[in-house]
Amino acid sequence: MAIIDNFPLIEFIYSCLIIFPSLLIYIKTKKIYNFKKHTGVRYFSKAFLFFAISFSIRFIYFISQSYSESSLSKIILYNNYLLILFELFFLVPGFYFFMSLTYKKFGRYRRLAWCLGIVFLFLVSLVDYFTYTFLLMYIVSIGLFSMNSFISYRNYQKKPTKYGQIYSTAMVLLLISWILNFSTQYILDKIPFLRYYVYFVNVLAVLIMLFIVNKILDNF
Amino acid sequence: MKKRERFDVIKDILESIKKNNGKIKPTRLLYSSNLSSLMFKDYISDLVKTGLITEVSNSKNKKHYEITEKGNDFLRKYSMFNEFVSNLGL
Repeated sequence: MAIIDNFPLIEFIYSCLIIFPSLLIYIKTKKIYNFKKHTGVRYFSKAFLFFAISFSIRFIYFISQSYSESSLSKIILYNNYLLILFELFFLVPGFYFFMSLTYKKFGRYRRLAWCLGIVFLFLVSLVDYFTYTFLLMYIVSIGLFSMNSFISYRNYQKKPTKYGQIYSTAMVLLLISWILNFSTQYILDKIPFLRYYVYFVNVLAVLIMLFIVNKILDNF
Repeated sequence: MKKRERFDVIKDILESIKKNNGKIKPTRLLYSSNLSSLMFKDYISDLVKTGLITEVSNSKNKKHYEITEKGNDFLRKYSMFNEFVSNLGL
């Protein structure tokens, strides 16, 4: 059997390639957050924590579907409301990236903006849950990453920095990954291997982020 | 003029000392820090307590401040932090 056909193995490698770099980014950026309690850094850092959590849940969910006889899988499969949490964790990283780039604009209403955002994401997850789709999740995520890509690129144009362009490229890659993901679900579901392009783009984006963090915060 | 945060004031004080070959007289530091003498005393006492600078007196009982290894490390981390925040537009 070719590796490409070994779906559980690919899922495992893919999950590891997202979870571990995300955790590394979280740990590194948490250190600089502790150095100076900077709100933007906190949102950025937490985006990667939720990235790692959401991909861990995704992997557990995948395993539970593949090996549906285990007790863990029964808990997951027979408690479908966990899907609400599953979707919420997928939506949160995009929102945290968005907050890290825009929190200054909210001024003293920053906390309110955060609360409203989380409530909105929860409602999105609820609506998807009751309509048995992930449609709103894709739409909201594509919207969030479109804004994140635009804002990060505009920031780079306003103030060109060494890694600013690479950062906005990573944001665009995450946007592309969500668009491709959406396509695999609703439009281009007959194209083989499209799912692997999504994996590749996602891993590339996270590794670029890790590269930026490591380059700037070397020996912090 | 934008009000400096406490963190930035500490960075400015440490940088003033570093630029002056790692040691500086109190009056000169007060002048370069742009603080009132009351605030200055408060900051200096904090910096000495946290080990970012040391107060050294010479044989004529004239004192000056020296930046410590910890102070230099703070400046290095501050510079990394700034680079990170400005590169990512946070």
